Amino acid sequence: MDYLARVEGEGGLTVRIENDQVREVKLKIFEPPRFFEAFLRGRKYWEVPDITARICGICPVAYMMSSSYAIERAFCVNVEDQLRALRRLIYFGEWIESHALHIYMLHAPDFLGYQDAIQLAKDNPEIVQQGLQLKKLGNDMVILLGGREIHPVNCRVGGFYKVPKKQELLSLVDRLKWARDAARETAVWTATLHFPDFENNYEFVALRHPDEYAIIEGRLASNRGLDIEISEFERYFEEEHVEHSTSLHAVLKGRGPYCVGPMARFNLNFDKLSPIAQQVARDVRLEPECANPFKSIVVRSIETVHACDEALRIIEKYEMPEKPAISVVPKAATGFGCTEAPRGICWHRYRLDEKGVVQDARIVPPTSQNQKMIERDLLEFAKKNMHLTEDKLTWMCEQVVRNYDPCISCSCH
Amino acid sequence: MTHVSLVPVTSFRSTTYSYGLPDAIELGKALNELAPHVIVYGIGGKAFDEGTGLSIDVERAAEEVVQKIVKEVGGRNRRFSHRVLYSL
Repeated sequence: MDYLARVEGEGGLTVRIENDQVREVKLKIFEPPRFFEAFLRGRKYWEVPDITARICGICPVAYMMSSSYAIERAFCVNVEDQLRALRRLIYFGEWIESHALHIYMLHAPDFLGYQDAIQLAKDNPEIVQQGLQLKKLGNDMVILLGGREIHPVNCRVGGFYKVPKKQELLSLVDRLKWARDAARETAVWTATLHFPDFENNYEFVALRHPDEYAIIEGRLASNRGLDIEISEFERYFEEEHVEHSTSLHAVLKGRGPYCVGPMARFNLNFDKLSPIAQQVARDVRLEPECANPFKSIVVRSIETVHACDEALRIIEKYEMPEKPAISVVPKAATGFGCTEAPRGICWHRYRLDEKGVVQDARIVPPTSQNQKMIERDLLEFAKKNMHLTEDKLTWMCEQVVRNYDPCISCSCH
Repeated sequence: MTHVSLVPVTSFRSTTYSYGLPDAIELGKALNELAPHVIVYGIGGKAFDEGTGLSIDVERAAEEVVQKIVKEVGGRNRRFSHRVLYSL
């Protein structure tokens, strides 16, 4: 498969089978790397969120948040209370728009036998309409808080350039209530889709927070005992170059591939989902531990319920802060940031000098971390399904990749 | 001269990068949301070298397109026709 369909960015896959044996599996990423880490060197700290936002048009908020937190930690500053709540709110907007895009436009056609969302829309316009309305709501949340939906301009180290009035946020309430119901319907509907009988043996890695379904803060945890500060990431994880990918592959040292993203969050943090989202999960009989990656479409739907529900809670409690940002004073230090992008943990490290100029940067996006696990899924899925025709197996292997909602342009930042 | 053709659609059958205006039109049609008459004005690029500014040809074309749009909007009561112009 030279070009993967319905993914963000450009990649392909190879599954080579000889004499009923899977000989080779490769997720091939050939999109040129952009060297963001290199050209961040020498830039001022306040430029970093806006520069890193350009890594991705789907999840720019993830990069703005991870970089802002990293720099704030380096400068020993905490963004709290309503500014922190607004950060969660804009991030939920990003989750809603990104998840809606993948559920309806990229993933659903797989299960319903359509080549693409346009064909799906011809037969089922109401499904695609609902997805587009959800996506538009997520976009509008990012516009309201970020100034525009793609590459927002209103987020900064220390908070925001401008914060909304309560009345502006209240304008979202009716649509969010509709969206919460629509996401619940989506979870019920996606749970009725036919899922291949396939599970894999995953180490799920996600942020874990004592009080929240972690999105902007937490410790790094796994279902196999990992429990570390985000600053310890490089002691436990490493990236390596492989010939067939312009994105570095990440592994847990001495343990191998791991899985980040909605499945990891759902399995590790189910108890922190909002009560409504937990109930939806129980209603559709999906509770941890879910190890069938094809069911990630249901998990994204449940996370969308949670995002809408939490957004409503944030708006209800919102009081406009006196200042849109807290001031920061640069100092020579290294800071770490890690937040939950729609596709999983987005880890950043910056070393800054006493004037706040970036000396060194490292960014590890979610899709680069999932690459090896995707290949492991491809291997196991192909081994189990060699009885399928070549066309059918090829289609299903593509779907194995799409289960992860890979963002290739992020991975080869 | 008006050129009439089917809109070529690649859609999400390949990377989402290839999703463009033709796909948006087709999706609008599939959802019965497309306006009854759609006019697309396009200007083909001329120079793509690093550091190159706007070419004279494109600048002239932009002026021409602006005039056409002004004329079209001004004549909104007359019947429109489907037109897809990929380059001038």
